[in-house]
Amino acid sequence: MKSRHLWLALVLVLATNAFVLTGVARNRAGAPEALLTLTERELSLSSGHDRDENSGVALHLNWNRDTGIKEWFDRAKLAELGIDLPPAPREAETFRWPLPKKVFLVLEYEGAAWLRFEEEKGQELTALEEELRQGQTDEQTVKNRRFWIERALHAESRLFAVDAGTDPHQLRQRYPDNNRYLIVAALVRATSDYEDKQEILRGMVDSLLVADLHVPRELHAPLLDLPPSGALFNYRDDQPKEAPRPRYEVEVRWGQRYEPWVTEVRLIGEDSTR
Amino acid sequence: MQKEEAQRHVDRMQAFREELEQLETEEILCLSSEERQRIDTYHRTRLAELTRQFDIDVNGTEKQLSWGMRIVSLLGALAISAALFFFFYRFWGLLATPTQVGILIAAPLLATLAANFAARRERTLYFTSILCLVALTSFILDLSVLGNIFNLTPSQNAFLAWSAFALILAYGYGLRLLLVAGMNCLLAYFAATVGTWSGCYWLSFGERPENFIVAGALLTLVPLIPHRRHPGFAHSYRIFGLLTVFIAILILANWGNISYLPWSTKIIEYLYQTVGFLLAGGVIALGIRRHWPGVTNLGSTFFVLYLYTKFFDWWWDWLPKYLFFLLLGLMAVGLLLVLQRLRRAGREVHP
Repeated sequence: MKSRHLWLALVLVLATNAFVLTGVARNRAGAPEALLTLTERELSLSSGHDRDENSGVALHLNWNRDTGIKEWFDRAKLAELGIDLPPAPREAETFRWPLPKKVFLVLEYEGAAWLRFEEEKGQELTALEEELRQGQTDEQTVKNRRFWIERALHAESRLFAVDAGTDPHQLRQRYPDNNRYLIVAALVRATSDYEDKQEILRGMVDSLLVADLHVPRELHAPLLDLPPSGALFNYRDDQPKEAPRPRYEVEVRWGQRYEPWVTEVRLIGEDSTR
Repeated sequence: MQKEEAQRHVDRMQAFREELEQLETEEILCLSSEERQRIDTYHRTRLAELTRQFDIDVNGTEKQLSWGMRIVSLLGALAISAALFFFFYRFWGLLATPTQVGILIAAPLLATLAANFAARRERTLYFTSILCLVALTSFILDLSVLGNIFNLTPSQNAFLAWSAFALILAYGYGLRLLLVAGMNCLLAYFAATVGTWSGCYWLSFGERPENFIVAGALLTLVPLIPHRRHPGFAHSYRIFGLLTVFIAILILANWGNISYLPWSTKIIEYLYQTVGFLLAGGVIALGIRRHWPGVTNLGSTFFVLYLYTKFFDWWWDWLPKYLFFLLLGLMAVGLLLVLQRLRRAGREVHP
């Protein structure tokens, strides 16, 4: 190899890494764009099947895929995001869905959406008990339904998607509380639902672009001996008498490029209400 | 002189000796002992020079062994790369972040230096090839794991960096394996970038085969840049690029609903079927004209593939299966007769 090629290869490796690390530094420079303390409900510990081969610890960011998103992610919002829907297909043609698009999603933590969710579940529980009292249903059905409602209230994520946009700065101006609202990059696409025998076009969130958060070795000690969250949250209704509680809380910051990093991990005491 | 040229010269000498033997046996030609000695001396000297300078095969047995060594070298390189990958993932969680970053950056640098060291000591470059693939794997691991550690948003620019690195090693050592790796990364980068022009996120580039048509076409244009030191590389770009384009067209010719074009599925499929046939025919003609046998073969293969998929569309549902395959076979025989006639005609024009 000519020495020119060798130097080129070495410089390329160094320059690329310098570029990446500079981006990391820029993301973490200054005040965080958002700062939240989330629990295991929002940041689940990854499953154990590959722990033998992968000693890294990662937490998966979960958000509540409640039906509330349908109220704002409608056709108008899709148009606002620049997702153009094709004309209705003719005859036997299938509908050609547009490809997913990168946008910025606003996730609200323990806000109005969560309170609404709690209220709905509470009303569902009350309605169930009323049905039982009136003999419209049986004990086992109520027990099963109560189990899922309790699970939703105590184990599911309290992060709800409340808005989306293409300009994160505008979104932050609309949702200035950076201890309650996260702005994250996500993939969204158009989809449809059937309601009242009609096809309604809506948007849906495909995935968050950064959904797995690495926990550095310096911080991961509290998590090392814990079984993965999947084993805990997918418990059967004949096991613990009540829904499990989160075992840890994690302080996470989001930087200028809307990329997160973990700054603290704490175990939650048994008497905690988190 | 490059290695390929040296190998061709050795093959010509071998072929010449065999043909001379045949002519002497049939008493068509008889060389005097002096002439024979001069030829033998020249061949012996030339062979010694070329084998000293290049790693070339002097006979059929060595050729077979070389192929075996190439396959073993490839498998070894892949196994070592996989070992490196899994080794890192097994132990990285035990290391502090600065140590992780240090190892990730050092690994491709050290592997590149090791490859350079090996290349200075071996003519055959088998070990160099292994070390170069390890260097590339280390670089891929480097950027991927940095992305995991710092929770970075995925970007298609990583493919560009990996491609550049692989191509630098490929051109530096004349390694076809690294060239293929580089072309794959470059293809992914082009296709992803073309995909973003339509407004979609780069990760969805696989959902629209037209992205690969553009990317493949760009690759076929690379040989327009002269490749004097590595003439074989130009051929590889052409084949790889055309293969990508042909496969993308084959997919769109059968599944038009995943096209960018805003027309009905049937029209899109007919359009790509037509384009496919025309392109395959054009590529065959180009390959014959430019004496690029690989290109001709590729065009012929896809011409037949497109034809067979049309036959499937037309006849599979309503013909008995034995008749369908019989017709395919008869078509193949018919094509063979046509090609034979063409070859004979070509021979009459250029005896």
